[in-house]
Amino acid sequence: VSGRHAILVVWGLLGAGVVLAQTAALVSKGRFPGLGTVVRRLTYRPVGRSLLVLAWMWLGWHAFAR
Amino acid sequence: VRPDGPTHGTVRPLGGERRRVTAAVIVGLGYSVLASFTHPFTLNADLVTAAAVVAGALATTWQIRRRSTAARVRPDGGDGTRARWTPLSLVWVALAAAVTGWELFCFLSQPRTRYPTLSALLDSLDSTRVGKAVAFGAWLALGFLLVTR
Repeated sequence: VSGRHAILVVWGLLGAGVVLAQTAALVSKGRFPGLGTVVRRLTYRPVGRSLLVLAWMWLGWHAFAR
Repeated sequence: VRPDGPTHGTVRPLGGERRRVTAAVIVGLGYSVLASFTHPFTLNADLVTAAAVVAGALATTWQIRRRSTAARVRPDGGDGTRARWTPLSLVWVALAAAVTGWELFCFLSQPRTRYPTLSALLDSLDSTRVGKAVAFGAWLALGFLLVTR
């Protein structure tokens, strides 16, 4: 396994972790918080919402414009 | 229950919310296809991305003002759904920390072909029109989630 493949495997594991956690949230029927619940908690206060939206703006500009 | 009317117990609102989400999905899909025809470092890409960013900023401002007005009436934030952190939320914190740490490790390592960052992986996806439409649509969906939650 080359260095690049090892890096990609870790990225894949992290992605699988996110999918697994979200699946657990759906299956647990609310006992385990899903991504939507966490986002709602983070955006409860205006500062949290503003910071997350700023990060979203930067991500879009970085990925699609520049 | 009226389509846009108040809810009681476990009865969920029908119609209004569903129509808004459906409309947002259709507009988002169309806009993502439009964005897939643009290329980074061009005016068209700047305009398409900037329009979405401005829409996100306006929607966020409106949402914050709406919530602060509601909070004056109801201390729980206006909609009765004050969020609480639980120990299980730490799983998401750990995942976010792991992704951030791995991104930093790759970013600080060279060469980029051997240590691809999320940006480099996204560039691979963006190289096809379908891939770019999917990526742009996912970005719009994330923004919609952040503004409406």
